[in-house]
Amino acid sequence: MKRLIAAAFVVGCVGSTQYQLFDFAAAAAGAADATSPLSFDESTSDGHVWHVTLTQATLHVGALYLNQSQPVSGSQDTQCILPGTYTGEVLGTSLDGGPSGLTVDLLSPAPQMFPSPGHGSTYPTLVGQVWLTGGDVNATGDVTKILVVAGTATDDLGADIPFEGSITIGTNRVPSNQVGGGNPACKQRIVSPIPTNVSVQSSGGLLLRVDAKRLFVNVDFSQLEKFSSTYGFSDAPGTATYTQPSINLFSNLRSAATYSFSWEPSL
Amino acid sequence: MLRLHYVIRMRRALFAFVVLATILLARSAAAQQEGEITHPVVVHQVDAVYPESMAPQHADVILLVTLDADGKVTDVRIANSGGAAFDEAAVLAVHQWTFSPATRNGKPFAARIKIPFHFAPPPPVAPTPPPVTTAPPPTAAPPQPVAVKAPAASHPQAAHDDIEDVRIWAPPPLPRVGIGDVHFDIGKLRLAHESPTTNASQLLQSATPILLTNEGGEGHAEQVFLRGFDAREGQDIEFSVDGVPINESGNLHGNGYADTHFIIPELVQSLRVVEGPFDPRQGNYAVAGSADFQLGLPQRGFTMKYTGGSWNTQRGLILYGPEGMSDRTFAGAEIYSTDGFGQNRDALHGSAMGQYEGRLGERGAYHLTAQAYATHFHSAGLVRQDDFQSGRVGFYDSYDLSSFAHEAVPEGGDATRFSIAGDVETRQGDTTLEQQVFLIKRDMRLLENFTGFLLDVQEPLQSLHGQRGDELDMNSDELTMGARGFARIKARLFKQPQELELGYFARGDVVHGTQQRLEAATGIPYRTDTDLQSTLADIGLYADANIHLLHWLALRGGFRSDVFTFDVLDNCAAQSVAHPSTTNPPIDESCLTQRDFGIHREANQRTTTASIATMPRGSIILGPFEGFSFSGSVGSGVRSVDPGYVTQNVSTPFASVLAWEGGAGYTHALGERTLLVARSVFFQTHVDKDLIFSETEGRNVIGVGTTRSGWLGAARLQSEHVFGSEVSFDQSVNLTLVSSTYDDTHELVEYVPGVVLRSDTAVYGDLPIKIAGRKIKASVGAGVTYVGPRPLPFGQRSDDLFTLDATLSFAWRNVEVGVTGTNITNNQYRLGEYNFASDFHSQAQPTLVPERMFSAGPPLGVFGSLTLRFGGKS
Repeated sequence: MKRLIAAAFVVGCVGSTQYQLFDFAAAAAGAADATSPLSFDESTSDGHVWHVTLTQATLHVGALYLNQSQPVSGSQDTQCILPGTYTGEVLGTSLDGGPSGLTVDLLSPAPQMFPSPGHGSTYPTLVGQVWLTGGDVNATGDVTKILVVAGTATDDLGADIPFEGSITIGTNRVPSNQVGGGNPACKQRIVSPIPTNVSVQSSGGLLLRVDAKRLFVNVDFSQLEKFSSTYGFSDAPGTATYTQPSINLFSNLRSAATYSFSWEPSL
Repeated sequence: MLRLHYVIRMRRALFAFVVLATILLARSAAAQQEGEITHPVVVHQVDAVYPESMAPQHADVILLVTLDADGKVTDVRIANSGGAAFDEAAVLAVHQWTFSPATRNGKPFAARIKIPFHFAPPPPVAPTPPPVTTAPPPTAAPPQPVAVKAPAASHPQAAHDDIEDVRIWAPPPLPRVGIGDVHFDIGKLRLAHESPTTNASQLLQSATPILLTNEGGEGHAEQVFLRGFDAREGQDIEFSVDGVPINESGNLHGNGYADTHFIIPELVQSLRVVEGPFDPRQGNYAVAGSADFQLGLPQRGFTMKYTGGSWNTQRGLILYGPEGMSDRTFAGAEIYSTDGFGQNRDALHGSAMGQYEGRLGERGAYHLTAQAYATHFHSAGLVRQDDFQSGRVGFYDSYDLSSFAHEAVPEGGDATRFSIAGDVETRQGDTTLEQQVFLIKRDMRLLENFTGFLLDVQEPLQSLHGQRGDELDMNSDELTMGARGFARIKARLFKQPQELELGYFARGDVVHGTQQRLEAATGIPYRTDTDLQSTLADIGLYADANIHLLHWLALRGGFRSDVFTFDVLDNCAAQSVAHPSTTNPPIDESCLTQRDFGIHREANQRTTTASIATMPRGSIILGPFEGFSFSGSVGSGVRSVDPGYVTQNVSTPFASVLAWEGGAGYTHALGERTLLVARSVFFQTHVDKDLIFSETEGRNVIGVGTTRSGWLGAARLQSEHVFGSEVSFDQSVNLTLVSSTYDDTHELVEYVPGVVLRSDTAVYGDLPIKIAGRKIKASVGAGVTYVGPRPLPFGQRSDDLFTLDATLSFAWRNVEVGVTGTNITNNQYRLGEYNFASDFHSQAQPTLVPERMFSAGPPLGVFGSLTLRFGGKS
């Protein structure tokens, strides 16, 4: 009888439910081949080749998310919150009261840790999101410098164009009087969907790599606005200075191709 | 370290309890010589005469006979009828009896006793009834408990005004529907439920292994886990009070929602719990089983009770049982208020219940019952584990009052319930007829927010908005009317008593339910999820046979068949349109008047359908053999569908259950004053469409099939005058071990506990202390609950749960004072735990991944009570 009761007790305490939840380490870094300074060649669509040397490239990442479903084409692929189940999140919450998020040096291939661990389930993941925000993703008054770049571009004739730029996503990119749900701030700040099959595991951690070279795809440095000593990317959409290089830099910033997720055995 | 402290505190508390009980035992044993009772003895008796009009047959009649201090019969009532003719014969005989009175310390007092008669042909004259002693009656029928009422003290002026129970035990009759059919007399185990926050559902814990949780506040129905079922707020258990249904058909929060807070716990005299769908009388919602609260008030006269204590909790109670009338004639009312522990858990309610039992000659009785209840309460809701661990919210806090997720209208709700009911029971020859009608008006509002600010995403056709909040404002206005009745026919075949019962049940519900979403900042509704007007009917019939093939072999069962009809007007039938009008798109409307490409439609749409469910049920019962009996049962049951799921002319998708159980029971009288009842049951239940909790819907929704297998054990040991002392005790313990799994994945069903253990203890007796010549009575009660880790989604398990409640009270004459501690180990525990996504704006970015959520169980609570009784006998 004792064995029977013991067996029944075991029956009441064994078994499990599907999938698991874990906290995990999370980091971001430049591309695996990133160096400081970073030199690379960039071709524009009109055939110009630019020899680019980046001396500064930092990106402020507010949060990372993983989701289990690929959004269908149409409205879903631009929705801020995806309809599927979220399988992972790195919120970037500071544990010591400091600023939230992580400013990543894109010229370093070394993982740079987010201020707090991520949290996720072992549910299969299909897409990721990178939230480029310094605070509330829907606040229009955010003046956080999301991207800061500096360097020199040399064309194939040997002309040097020193450049710099700071990109913010605030009132400059979000209309203040919107109706009909047209274009909330979050749509400008969230890079989504980023295809990935990374799923949360019991050990290891999530690594986001940001390829700084991809930020300059089809950027025609010759059209940059000239300041006193350097040329600069404009952060004022809708103005006369907001030309091809500024448009393409922001477009590349929001391109899924710039980002890649991987699960690292150790972080 | 925390765990160690908790164990130490628990052991200290248990040690203190044992010491106190031991002292009470010892002192009372020493005092037992002071209060020795002698029972009434028959001086002159007249045999009952077998009715000439009756064909040869066996019949059993139990009379409740009141004797005065001279030993004269002053009142006779029929406790158990053997048929009108036999009843009359027994009453006529006992009126001619005389007794020597019961005495305490040599002083006579009034007493009430049960006298069983057994009529057997031939000869035509019934055998002599047994002398009134403490021994079980020597009859062939299943013996019954014998109770003797004796005076509490020897005060000469009050000797016949103050009566207490002295019980002499004999084995009870066999259960009607197998081992899982539990008739549970609350008795002194009420001591384990003395907290002013106790409600009627919690009494069930003493009768059957059951877990109750509640994250919805004190006016919210308890969430019930029974035999591996997550019955949520009772949807899988058929609840009733003296046969009047409690489950609310058509309630939006859960079809079958069962809120028992309207029942004044002190008026619950006994419980009948049938675990599983094995009784043909069971109807809709009897998936995990059924529970009937049977009302009664043994204490006669006026009782006034005030309780106050922790969290500014106050409760006033008055009870009245007219002298000279049965336990089923009473009135009671209570008023209760509390600030609640932690944040946002305040509540108040008032409840009143009255019942009158009248006699229809010696052949029947009728009952009229009225009830009123109203409450207003708040609820703390759930807390995220990560927010608690990081210190963003406290363990007992509520997001509703936080700076980052403030709700203009905090969670909570309101509820009212008014009902009247009446029943008539008559006997004509060997047939018993009963009719009951009831009318219930019930309104309810619930405000709940499980997910915070998660679900209100920006849709393309909406005005620009952020997350406005996921708070649900659910309302349900219900009018229920119905009737039930049966005819029970007794006959004698195969030299054994046989029984057939044919009955019906009819119920109609008119329900209007709405559910809206409230903006957190303003409390203004911004979206309507549901607006249903439903007319629901459930008309059923059943046949239940009780066939004795041999004196140790009985076949019991039959079938039940119900017709369910649904007439549902959905006032918000269309909530999305794939291709809206390009010139006049519906902006922010909840209930749309457009179809594809802007074609007009009305916002509402009616749906009707009907179905029949037939449920066969049967049991085989063997015994008793030296106290052991064995049974096996098979049965099916249904839970009707939520009106929101009804589709035009499509057979209603009932959730059907198929269950079996097999077990053994043991009943043994240990001497004259001790009774042991125990049972062991193995069971398995399969449900084709189980209810699975949905945090986004705020309730359970229909899911896939599940199966639960397990074992249940229970035992109750009652003893009076232990070892000849003045001390008595009542100990009940029950344990369920169960595994609940999904049929498709064979993984565990979330939230259902695999282990539930409950122990209730009551120790009571006289202290060797007298004031003005009257002894002081002392009572100690304790209730222990242990629930093993519950499976959660994503492979996790909850913490286990342990609570210990205890009560100590002293009574002198008409005054009783008591102190009750709940969770006396002050264990900080999570009553409910969940895993799902929620976002309460507690972090810089939205929290979108499932995370552990919990509702806090109450910390240590201490309550004092003062009870005054006037002019009553019990």
